[in-house]
Amino acid sequence: MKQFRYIFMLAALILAADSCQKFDELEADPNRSTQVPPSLVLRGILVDMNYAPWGDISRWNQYWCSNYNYYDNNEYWTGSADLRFTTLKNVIRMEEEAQRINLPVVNAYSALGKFFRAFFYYDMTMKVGDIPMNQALLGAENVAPAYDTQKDVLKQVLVWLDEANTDLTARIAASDVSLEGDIYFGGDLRKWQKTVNAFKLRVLVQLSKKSADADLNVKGEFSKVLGNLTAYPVMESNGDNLQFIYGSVFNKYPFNPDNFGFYADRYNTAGTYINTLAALRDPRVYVVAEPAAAKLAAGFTATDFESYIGAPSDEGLDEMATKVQAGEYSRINKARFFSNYVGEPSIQIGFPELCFNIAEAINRGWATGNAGEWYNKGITASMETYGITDVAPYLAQSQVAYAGNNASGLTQVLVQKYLAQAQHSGLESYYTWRRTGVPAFAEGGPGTGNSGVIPRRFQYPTSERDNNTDNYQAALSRQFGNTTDNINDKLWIEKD
Amino acid sequence: MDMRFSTSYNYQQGMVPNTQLNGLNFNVYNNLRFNNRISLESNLNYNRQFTDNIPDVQYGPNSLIYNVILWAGADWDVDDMKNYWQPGKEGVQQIYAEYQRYNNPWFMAQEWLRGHYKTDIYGQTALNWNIAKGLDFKLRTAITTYDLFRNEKFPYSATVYGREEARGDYREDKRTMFENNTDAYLNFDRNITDNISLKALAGGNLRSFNYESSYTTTNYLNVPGLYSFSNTANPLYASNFRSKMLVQSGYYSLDLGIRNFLYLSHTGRVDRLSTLPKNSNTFYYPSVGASVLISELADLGPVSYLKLRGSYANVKEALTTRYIGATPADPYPLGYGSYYSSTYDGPSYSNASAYSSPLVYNGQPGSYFTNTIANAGLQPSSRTNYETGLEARFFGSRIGLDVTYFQYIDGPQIFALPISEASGYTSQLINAVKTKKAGWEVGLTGSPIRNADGLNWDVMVNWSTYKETLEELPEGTDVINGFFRLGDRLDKYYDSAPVRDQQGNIVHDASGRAIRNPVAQFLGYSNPDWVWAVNNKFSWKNLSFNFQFDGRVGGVITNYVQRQTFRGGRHLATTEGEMGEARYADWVNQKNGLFTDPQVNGNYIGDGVRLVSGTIKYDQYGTITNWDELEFADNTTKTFLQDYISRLYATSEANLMSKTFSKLREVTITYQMPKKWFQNSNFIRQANVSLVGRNLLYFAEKKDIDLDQYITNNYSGLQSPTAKRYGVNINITF
Repeated sequence: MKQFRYIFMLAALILAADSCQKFDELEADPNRSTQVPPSLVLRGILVDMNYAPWGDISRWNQYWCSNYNYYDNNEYWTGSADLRFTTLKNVIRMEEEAQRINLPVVNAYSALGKFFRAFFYYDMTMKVGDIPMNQALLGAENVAPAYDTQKDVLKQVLVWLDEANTDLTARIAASDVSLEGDIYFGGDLRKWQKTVNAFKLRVLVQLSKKSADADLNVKGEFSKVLGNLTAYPVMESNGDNLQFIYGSVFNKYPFNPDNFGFYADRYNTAGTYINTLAALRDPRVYVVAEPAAAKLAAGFTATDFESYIGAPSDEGLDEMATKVQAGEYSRINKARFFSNYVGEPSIQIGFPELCFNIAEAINRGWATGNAGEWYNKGITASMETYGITDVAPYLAQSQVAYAGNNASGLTQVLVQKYLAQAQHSGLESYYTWRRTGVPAFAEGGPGTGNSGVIPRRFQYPTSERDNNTDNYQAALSRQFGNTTDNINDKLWIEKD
Repeated sequence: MDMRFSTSYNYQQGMVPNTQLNGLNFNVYNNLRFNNRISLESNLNYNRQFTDNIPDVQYGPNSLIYNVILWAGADWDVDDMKNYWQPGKEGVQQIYAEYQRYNNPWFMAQEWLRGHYKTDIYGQTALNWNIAKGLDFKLRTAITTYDLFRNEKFPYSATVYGREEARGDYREDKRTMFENNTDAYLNFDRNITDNISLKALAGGNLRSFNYESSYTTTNYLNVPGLYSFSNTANPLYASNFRSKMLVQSGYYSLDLGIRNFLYLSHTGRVDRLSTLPKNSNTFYYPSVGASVLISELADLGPVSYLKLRGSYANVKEALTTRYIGATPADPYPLGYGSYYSSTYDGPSYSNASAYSSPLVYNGQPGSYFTNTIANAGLQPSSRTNYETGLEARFFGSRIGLDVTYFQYIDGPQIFALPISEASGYTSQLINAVKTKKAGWEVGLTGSPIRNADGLNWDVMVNWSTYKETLEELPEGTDVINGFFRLGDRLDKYYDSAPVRDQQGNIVHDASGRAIRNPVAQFLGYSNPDWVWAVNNKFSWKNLSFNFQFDGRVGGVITNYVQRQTFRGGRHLATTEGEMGEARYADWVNQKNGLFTDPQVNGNYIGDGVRLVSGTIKYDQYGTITNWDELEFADNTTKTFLQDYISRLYATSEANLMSKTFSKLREVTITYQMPKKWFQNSNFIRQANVSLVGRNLLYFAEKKDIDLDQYITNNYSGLQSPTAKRYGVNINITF
């Protein structure tokens, strides 16, 4: 019986030991945190901002093409766009985390928070049109928010940008160095301020079809910035570019030695881009493309612009593939894009674009200044990112020299902006084409998809159709007079 | 004191060279009787499964099937590749047909090793105290544990998705699970009167669960062939996961038997579960059952036995998951790893308002707040089972019939309700949604021939069917997961399909290739209509012959092996008929330099129509809305065969096949050695010899996948081929 007593005690002990554990604490996940420093949330948001090069978007911008139907084609989208509300929720969380660690009410994170709102709302409305804003981001309080019009969203975007500029001015004056986790500018608020104002000019230029709208006051807002660059500083060189820098161990450039064997020949250059460069006898073509083998076989040399020819993006893929194999099109310059892991920085908001946006505004008469000068500055800055410093001969060419504040001058500005934004700035080149038709995108052939037509917008995510049905349908009817969520319908911003 | 122990070891060589599986089992049991009322019973089982290398077949360059069946030439002889190191580069560089995507199968088998070592220990100690006649007290504590260690030696020059630098890696995946269940209960079991028996039980249980896992990998190696973490070229990557859970329970059960014909039972259980919010973590769930033996009440003539039964049972639980992979938050940080799931039954932590912080830039973390709104008032999920059945035997058990109708109501579940992402979140955890799984199971046994000295024939037939449907939607929602509405079957299968005209013809674009519908289309149901099995046993004297046929009828699946062999040009059908002719003609044209304009030099014309004018407009479901604006004509546009295939066969509809199949699963012929042979032996008491064959015949629409491995899937993967197995069994009883 003695043994039995011991065993009984042992069993009782096991029971007691179990119960001692703190039951109520076990609900929480020990693997994840409920509080983090705002810098970690910021880093996540900044990574979310990046549009990487060489993806679908670059094909829709007609910079390059797939010739290998197993993986890809050059067709435009048929469905919905990703929205950015979950990132915007992280913006709010970042602001809350900044408050939690007792930063002032207006702090570096909250100032950037305003910019992020502007950035991501612009991003969304440009893709789909009307989106929820005033009732958005309330979590469980409103799981089916009503939509705001594209006009109201863009109006608010401009307000946020103004507020971001004001708040940054204050934080810079206070010598705020609290911003950490900043992968773009290492916490330099001055560069952020320049980005904010450069971005504002982008938004205003994309509103060119609404320049007469009194509520938006596009012209006034533009000249307000350009007329007072002390209060509204903008980027002054490529050193101010908001750009994603690739690394050799983490965050490798999308094209690199690892995938040389997959991509180098399965993708080739697009005519909209390469043929424009070649026609302007632009030295950037030597940097980004290889001469077409068939042209070299026909006696042209690698320095002849005639050797550079890109494929029409709307060509049937079977046809393009056979022509690529026959050497009829220029391939991507392997030496530039495949020989290392860092590639080139991917510019999200850049100085060259800023120059062209200012040139466009002056050309349109929104502000005073010398459009030709900004135009030349933009070209020079873009050339610099390709290592080309001797730009004068190029600028002197009759077809490149700025034609003045007229329609041809505007086309030149838009074409140069397109060339400068190759592989950069997400869908901006498509938006500019949608707004101006410049440069002319290849369209109509079987390679375009969508029965040969380039779509004008993305559908809303199907989750909106299913989970926010009434508001979704109301927004569609208001914008397009029907509820089919058609990718070929025009957005408000595109309508004259 | 009783004591017994057993041990066993088995070794199995794999189909793939250099693969094997070892199994070791040890069991000990003892029962210590202190007196005639108190005893202590213990049992411990140790089991170890271990192997230095198991094959990987999952799709990717890591898979032998991928490298051999899908993407190698059909005419290659695998044994030509046995010498797999490049001369002078032994241990560094394999030899293969190309060096970008694929791997030499012999190199993979001999050098790319995946170890798996798992130890399972379970045991219990129980104290039994017979307090009085029919009244027992039991105190029991039991443990269930496992310890899993998996590693992967990834050699230099091997390439896989995401590891294209091909500089080798070493990985370890470690998981330990410990669970303790301690019970104390009183058990009463007595006949109260001659006609009434009562069993009653009441007690409590404490379940304590602990889980720890870690996953560590090098980020490329410095020295080829040295599989050690200190040999990593870039910083190591490591992640871990841990969880704890407690469940406190009280339970009771009552069983009442009345005059051998009526049996009633009732159970109830209260759980307090640590995964739920404080104010809703305690809940009750009951069951009741009844059965009536009608044959005890009346003489039913040829019906020798008849029983009717019915039951209701409810189970509740919350926020746990059955299986777990390596460190769930961030399972394969470097992009590649074969997903292995082990049993878990622990907390999912899906109701947490927390950040995930993966490494996002330059090896530094970024934090992302959860996209699911947690619910502080979350209740447990509920699953209720109703079952009624009939058991009957006829003609002195010559014929037996067993019929069951069952219904499972799953819900209200813990459901991640999708919400407008404009809220900042993509879903919200709520208690909602009911699904119903209802079906029939019928078993029929018969002995058409019974002859003690001659031929005997026994037949067993099983048939079953079920359907699972959506019974209740969350308030204010009329569709979930994009396509599922009230009353819909849950196995509706939607996937990619070409556009079809109103007559059902495939629509082609101006280049003669099929246009793909932008929205997934309904392709069928993935579950079978019914399942059957027939087992026959013939015996004559010392010989018996046994065979089982079984199968499933109905359902569809996308055949991924077909999809990829078409797209890779490996499918036999691409060499036959119209495709075969076009393929040959394309090849001749290419050889003659006429591989330029597909519409002139192509040789394949896809069956269907071509869109001649108009822009197709689709609604949100991919239905064409503007037929009147569209004009079609017969497709006459030539294209190259492989371009055509690559597009059409990339859709699931083109690779859809019926899931109906049947198998001659097992045939056994047994000879029972005559007893008299062993009459004088003190050693051997009896013996028999059997010939066994498994998977001997397989009938299906297409035989490049074994449907048996995809019972509920609507999309096949890659698999090790199912082998026909033949064997001899010798069974000796001592």
